[in-house]
Amino acid sequence: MTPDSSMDRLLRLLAEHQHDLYRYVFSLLPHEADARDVLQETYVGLTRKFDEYDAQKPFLPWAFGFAYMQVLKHREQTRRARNVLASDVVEVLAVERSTEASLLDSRLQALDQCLEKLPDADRRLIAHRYLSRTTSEQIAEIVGSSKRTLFRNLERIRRLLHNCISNRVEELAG
Amino acid sequence: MNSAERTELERLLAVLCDGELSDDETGRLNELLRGDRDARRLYLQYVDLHAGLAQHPRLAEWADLTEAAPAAPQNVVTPRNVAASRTVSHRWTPYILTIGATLAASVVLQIAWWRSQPTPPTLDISHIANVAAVVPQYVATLVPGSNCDWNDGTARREGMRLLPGPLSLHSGTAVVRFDGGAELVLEGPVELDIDGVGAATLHEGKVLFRSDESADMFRLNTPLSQMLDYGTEYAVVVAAGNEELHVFDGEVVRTPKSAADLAQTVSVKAGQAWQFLSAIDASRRPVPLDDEHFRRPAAPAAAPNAAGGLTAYDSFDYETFAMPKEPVAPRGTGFASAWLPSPNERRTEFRKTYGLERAGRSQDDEGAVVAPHTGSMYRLLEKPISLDTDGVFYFSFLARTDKLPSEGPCDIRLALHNESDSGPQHRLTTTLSWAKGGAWLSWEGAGNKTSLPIETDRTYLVVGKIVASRRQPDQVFIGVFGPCQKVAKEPADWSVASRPFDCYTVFDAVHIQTSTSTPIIVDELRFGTTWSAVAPPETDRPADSPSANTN
Repeated sequence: MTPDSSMDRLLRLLAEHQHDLYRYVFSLLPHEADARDVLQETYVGLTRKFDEYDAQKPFLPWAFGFAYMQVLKHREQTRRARNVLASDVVEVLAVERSTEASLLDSRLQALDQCLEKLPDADRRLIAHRYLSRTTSEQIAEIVGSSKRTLFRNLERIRRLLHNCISNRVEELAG
Repeated sequence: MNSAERTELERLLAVLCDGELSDDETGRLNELLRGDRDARRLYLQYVDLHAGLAQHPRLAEWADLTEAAPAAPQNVVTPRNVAASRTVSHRWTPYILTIGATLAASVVLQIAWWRSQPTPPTLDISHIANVAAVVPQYVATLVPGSNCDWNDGTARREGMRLLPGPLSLHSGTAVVRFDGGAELVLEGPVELDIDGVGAATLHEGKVLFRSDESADMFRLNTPLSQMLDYGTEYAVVVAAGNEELHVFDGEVVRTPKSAADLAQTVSVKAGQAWQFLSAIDASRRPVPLDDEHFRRPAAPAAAPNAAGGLTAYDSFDYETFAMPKEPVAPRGTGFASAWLPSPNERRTEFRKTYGLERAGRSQDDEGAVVAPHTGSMYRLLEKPISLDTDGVFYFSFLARTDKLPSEGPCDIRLALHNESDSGPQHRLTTTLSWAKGGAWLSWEGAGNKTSLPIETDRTYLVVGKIVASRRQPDQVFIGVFGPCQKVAKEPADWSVASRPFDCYTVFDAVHIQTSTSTPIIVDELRFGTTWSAVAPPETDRPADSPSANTN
């Protein structure tokens, strides 16, 4: 396999799994900007070590290993209040995140159907929150609520989606 | 993980996703995650949902729902951007040089081939109120008269809770009942600041102060002085450059603000009235005690019709009631269904019995229901109670048991919840317990309890009050009144008060549940927006017609 083909393959794998990697990193480093930084570092590490990857084995568990090391490295380098999770908690979560990966993927698939059930007002709020780069004040003004109510509505919608997903996954499990 | 911890964890996770956790909250989050596998599972699912929403392709279809076009994805983390990123370019560059132009060309060619995903955008949430932060504390309750006109144009409801802050009454009469026991009757125009549970500042206008020996000492400030009461009734009028103090009962100690020494402090006793002039010149002169002028007006008149404000009523005056053996006819007003057996309950049995009586109650009520043992039933409300609005809601019921079991519970619970949310942690529950001798309130970690001398062979009136607010904390109160206790007006003291909390639930269903092996009787279930609607004078009973809605 020529280096070019190897790079092509890596790029395809990264493109296919970048969401999965972001979700993994975010679960251990629940801060959006930090998670993006770590994801970049993870890509660098994967690129450097891709020749060591055994193509007969699944890509994600191997990539998660790199991501985990980058999470630890980032925590060590930053050492600031943004490290929400304690070290021992991260350690346990990393293990359980891997074992729960399949269920989490199923839940993500169910999210699509649950989003369908949201009324327009909730869709609008979710779209504002996750799509457009607007401040909380702007969103509150647009939707005509206080920031407090905005915050509570986001919490409510996520709870609705969470419960819907749980019910959906349970139904599919029979 | 119990239900309260789960609720707490959900709240912390919401703050994590949309806000910024404080140090205490961070510590608590780690504590919850460290100790419980279920908590970690919930955490992983919740943050995965959050991350999944940020990248879900369906959201792009909703872009037209936003006011502005969505911003172009920025900071999209792709391998190409890794090369361009300032953060990692010093690492990436040598590798590119090694591969050379072929790699660079390959990378470029992949751009169009890659799936473009929205980046998790940064939401500036720095100003969003953190609901897990310290919740401001209410200090008083307002009873506005029907003729009140507030300078800010805001309508204020009977029973609403007050935080420290200004009150500006243009005209009319209102009563402010402080949690410490004191009461101020305001007669507009009045400019008043509520300073705390036992303090206020009168800037301008006329107020009548009342308290008794059970109340905490109250400090009333004016531009010229500070007044401390000793179990009194007195009135103060503040005008430009002077103030008058009329003491009707007890004693008031007045200290001028400009006093250099305590010699300027005076004690004004019952039957005395003084006018005090400027702060610099602490001179004073006696004035006639104006008993009539200040005591008229008294407390504002209550609503003449107790049924006004009644939103739901069930007298349990049924011809037959045999749940679950027979369907129950949809009697009562303000309900969207008949009584139904609660789902997932192992035993549900309620039967018709004789109506409960309280002192002075009319004798023509024949109906109540009795639960001979553990049971649960529910019905839906036509007018749900929303905690995401500004409002005060009341409910009440009568309860009684004639015999304590030899062991085990003897409790009755009234629970409010949203029918679509079956989680037990999302039920506002009022419990009256004969076995444990007390009453308690359960609600998402904000509950409270108290011991009460609850006896058998006595009928108790249980009244609940829900203070809901869109922008201020919510709070719930429970009062338990014995057969001979007067309930003509809303009490200053409640049996149980919740901690202030923040919630947006809509209650559309009411459950009546019993845990007992001896019969418990329940009667006269009411919901309303005024005290008098749920604790009416005994002669004023609303008509009880069959509900128009059935299940």
